[in-house]
Amino acid sequence: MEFWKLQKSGMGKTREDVIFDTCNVIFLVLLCVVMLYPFLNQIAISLNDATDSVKGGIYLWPREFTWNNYSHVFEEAAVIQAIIISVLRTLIGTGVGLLCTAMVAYAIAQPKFMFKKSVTIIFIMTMYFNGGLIPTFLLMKELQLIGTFWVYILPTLISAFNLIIMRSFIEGLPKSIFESARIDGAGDFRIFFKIVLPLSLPVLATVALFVAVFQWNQWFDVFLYNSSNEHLTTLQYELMKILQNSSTTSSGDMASAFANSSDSGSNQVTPKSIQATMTIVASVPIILVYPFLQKYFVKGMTLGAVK
Amino acid sequence: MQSETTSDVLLTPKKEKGLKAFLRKCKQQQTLLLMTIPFVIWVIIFKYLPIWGWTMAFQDFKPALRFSEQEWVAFKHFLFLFTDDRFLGVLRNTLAQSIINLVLGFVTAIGLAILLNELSNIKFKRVVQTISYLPHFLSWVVAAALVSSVLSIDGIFNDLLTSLGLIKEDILWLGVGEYFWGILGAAETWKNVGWNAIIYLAAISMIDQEQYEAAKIDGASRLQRIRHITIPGMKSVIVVLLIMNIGYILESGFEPQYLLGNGMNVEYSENIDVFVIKYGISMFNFSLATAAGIFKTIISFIFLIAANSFSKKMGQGGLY
Amino acid sequence: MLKRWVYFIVFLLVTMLMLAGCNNDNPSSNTNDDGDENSDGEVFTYDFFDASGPGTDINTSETTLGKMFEEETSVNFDIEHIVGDVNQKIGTMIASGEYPELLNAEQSTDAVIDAGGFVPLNDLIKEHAPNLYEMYKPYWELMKREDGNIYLISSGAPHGYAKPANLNQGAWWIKRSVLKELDYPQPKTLEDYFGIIEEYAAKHPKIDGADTIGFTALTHDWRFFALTNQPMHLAGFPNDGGVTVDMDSLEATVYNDKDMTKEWLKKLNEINNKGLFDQEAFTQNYDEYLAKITSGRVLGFFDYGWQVSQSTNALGEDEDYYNDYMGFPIVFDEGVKDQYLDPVAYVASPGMGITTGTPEEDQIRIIKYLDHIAKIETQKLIMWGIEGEHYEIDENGRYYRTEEQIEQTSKTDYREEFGFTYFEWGWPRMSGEFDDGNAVEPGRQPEVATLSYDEGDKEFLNAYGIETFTEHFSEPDSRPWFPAWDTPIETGSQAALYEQQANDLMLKAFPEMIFAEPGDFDAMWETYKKEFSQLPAEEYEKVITDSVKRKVELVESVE
Repeated sequence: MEFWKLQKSGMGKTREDVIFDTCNVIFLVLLCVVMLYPFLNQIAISLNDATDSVKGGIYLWPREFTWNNYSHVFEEAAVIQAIIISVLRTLIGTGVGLLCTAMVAYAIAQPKFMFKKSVTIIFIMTMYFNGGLIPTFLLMKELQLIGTFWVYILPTLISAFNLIIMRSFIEGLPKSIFESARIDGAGDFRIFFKIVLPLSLPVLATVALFVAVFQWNQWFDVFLYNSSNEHLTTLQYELMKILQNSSTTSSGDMASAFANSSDSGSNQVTPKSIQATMTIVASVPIILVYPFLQKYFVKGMTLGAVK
Repeated sequence: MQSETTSDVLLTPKKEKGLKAFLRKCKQQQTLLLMTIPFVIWVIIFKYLPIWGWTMAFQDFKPALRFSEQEWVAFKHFLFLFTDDRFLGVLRNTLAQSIINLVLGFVTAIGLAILLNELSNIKFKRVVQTISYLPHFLSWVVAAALVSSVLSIDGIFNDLLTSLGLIKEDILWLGVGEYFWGILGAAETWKNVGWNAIIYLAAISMIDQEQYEAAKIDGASRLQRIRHITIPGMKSVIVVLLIMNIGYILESGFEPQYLLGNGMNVEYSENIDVFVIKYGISMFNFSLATAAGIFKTIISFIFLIAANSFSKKMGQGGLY
Repeated sequence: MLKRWVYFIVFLLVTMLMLAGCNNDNPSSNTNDDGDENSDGEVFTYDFFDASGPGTDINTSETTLGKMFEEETSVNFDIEHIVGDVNQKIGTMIASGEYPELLNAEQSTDAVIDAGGFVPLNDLIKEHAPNLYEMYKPYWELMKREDGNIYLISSGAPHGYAKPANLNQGAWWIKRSVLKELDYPQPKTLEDYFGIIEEYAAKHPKIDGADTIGFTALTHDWRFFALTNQPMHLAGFPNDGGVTVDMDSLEATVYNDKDMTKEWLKKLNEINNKGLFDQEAFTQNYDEYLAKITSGRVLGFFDYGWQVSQSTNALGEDEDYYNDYMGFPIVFDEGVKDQYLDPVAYVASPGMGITTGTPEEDQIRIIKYLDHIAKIETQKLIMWGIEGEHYEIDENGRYYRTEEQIEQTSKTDYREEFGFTYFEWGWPRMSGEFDDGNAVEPGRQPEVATLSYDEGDKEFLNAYGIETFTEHFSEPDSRPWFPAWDTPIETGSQAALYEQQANDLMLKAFPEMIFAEPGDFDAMWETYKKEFSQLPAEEYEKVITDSVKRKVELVESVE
């Protein structure tokens, strides 16, 4: 109830404003409830005894508290190694991707650039087709990227979507800034690094978030290219493995059940509880990136910095 | 935009012709070329080279055989796709689901960004922003399980509607095909609205603050400021995103449809991707999957070009 | 601002260089396993890719069993389990021609064989693997593909029949409190079964405050067969998949459009009309289904034991003896002999095979390793463990486990550490009984199974006058072709298309018929039957019939 007390009571705060603010705050609080609930629910399930969770009916609080699900996940030796790889691929993938994307975006945002249109089209088209799984796999094999870390970075260097977003932001920057810089004798590299990058912080932050989340969540390329290289698997992939491992009833088990060998005793984990634990372990680190990037979304900061 | 291109570096003598002029221009723009050419090479290698795989659509592709040994079957797989009794229904579902997603996705994300922008308490704004994008990080398996439990007979949605007196008997929401598109649209919106709003927030933060101050002094109301400053400030991003997304008209996703679909709503839930998974990948038929991919690409290009030229005609600029 | 960027880029470059430096050492096979080196020579490490199911990826020598085998054979395996889609993963292996030395390709097995990915094992086994040959001799002809070559060694070569003590297969389950209240009735037919449920539901419309659910069903995703298989079972057939096979003519018949299916659906329509059928049976997912069963609201359901084990475990672990379920062999009419327990069966595919590209001397080393596993002593070690540690032998030569041993050998961690988890399935092994009469699988040894029964279990066993929970199920008849569902079906063929199309049609039509007004049922059935008749069912039947006949012929030729 204190939210609207905190609203700046600036000048010209009319009755209409007060009503608007009140409704807005109430709406957003309700929205938060809807958005937050599933997460709290997953946390509760992840902290609840796995066998008990099968019964359902866990909402916001665990019924039989346990750390078992988490220790089950972190007991896997591969998980720690996988976290390191995940962090590295997110950092490097984001850093390199952001730089390359921004560079191309800058070039195709220049109205005078001779290949502006063709380069733009070449990239846009890539959003709407792909050659398919097997040709891509064979390409990676030819390039000798399979079994290396670079198979995470190189194929996803620039996303056309992010490129276009960034281009349209750069095009929105005031032209006068470029012109005065050119008159001062600045070259494109200088303008790019000294003017465009600092001015584009909000969009850089946005694209960085997009790339980081993409890199962090990827597991399919690990599955295709690096599944037999234990030292290069990522967190998402290892979690996926633990999850699938916990389901005693995969199609493969049909065969063993058939031979009645599944005398595997009591399972301490169930897919449901591992799924919940996995949701928390995999998403909390990347979720924390956003609040950190939000400071670059602050209004007015960008233009003021140059003036 | 085009009229402003006469910056001083660009004073290329128009009389020079041919190769010489071209080289001269290249030299002038060497930095820009340096910034793009390596990536053009990259995109050709990583994105365009694998297109040879499209030949699979015209073969009964067997991964073990060499290219010259594959059996060519012309349009067999396309015919299978287009002549299946269900194809029209599947296409209808794909279009309906993706149009609903497109419209809802845009409206809600832009709306949320505006509402967030109107908050003056920065801390509260950041908290809401972060919370609103949380569901994006739930896998569809978790999200679909949640949707399913909310909509079950004893679920909260039926309870709510009953207590409000809107329905008399509990409804099996996922058991009635006609509701599926709505359920899917709502689920997609819930999951992605916060995520989709990020880009608009970035756009808003690049709007010059002085405009707001000036409007305030002129006595513009809250809604007027939203209409005349905030929305125009996001316009270029909205247009660009809209065109790109119209190109994705046949991509309505497959996970939620696959997870929430069942025998009772299959006539509304099954879309192209689900169909391709059932009859393509899961039957080791890579050719069918490729044929469907080509079909989608062609439709994408048609829509993309149409949307782009329409936008240009309306004076809103285009993607290229 | 610029400085920070420069630092960041320098940081990235340095990290890149470091990474580039450390990933040039790709692990290749056939290298020395340094540190663990045997005194008498080299240890060979091979890759084994197992697409049959998920699991922890390890090197076999990290387990007690694997270490023992390594000492005997100087060979160990890096096991990698599938994580994503099998077809995609195997598809890329085939396309690139790069296989692990040992491969189980699960549903993509036929594609690998078509691609020439496996080497023929006939001579290799005969020359280098006498124990393996001995174990698989009765099935030697069945193992051959049409070209006369053997490419696969599948797990489980039957050797006699040991009746399981617990129900892992199909059964009609009823909640124990229902049975207790109605004085332990013994349902035999579908009428009896639903009669019991109806009687109890009428007396108890609510359980713990929630509406009683008379009968629920599992239909989610690929588990839909748990609803479509019933007619086959009710008519007295074992789980042959989408067909019933006539014992005399050996003809396979699709039953999804036959009267037995109509009778079954009509029954469901009838109980739905009485309010006993779960309205959510077609919309709930697997988790919701399990939760429902565990909640105690459900009076009965049909399912395979292995699909509901999560629920039955949870129910078994709590204090309440009466919320557990007991399974019965229900049939259409009294005269029908139930066939819920799987007969002795040899499943020829999938299985493990050695891939092309493996040098001959490595092939020999691998087959010798498999041969070592096929020795009877090794089989006992893998299934039962070490005498005195994991099991005991009584004066009659019967194997048994003490309560502590049962507990120890059922702990997941321990099973992984010792290696039970990795070796008990997937590798060459027998099933049934050893020559000394002990069951191959401890779980089928009555001495082991009965020891784990609690007070509640005993109460019901006594009430029904049985020793184990499978005693009231008939012994399976001999069906040498069983199971018909392992018949290889060519990708892209009409038969393959039929399977998917029939499934899609049933998925849509079954709920419509079950939830219809009883008066409309017959008309809807006719419509469905007409639609079904347009599917290429004959092609499917022919493929299965041919395979069944071929198998029976081969088995008879050996005998």
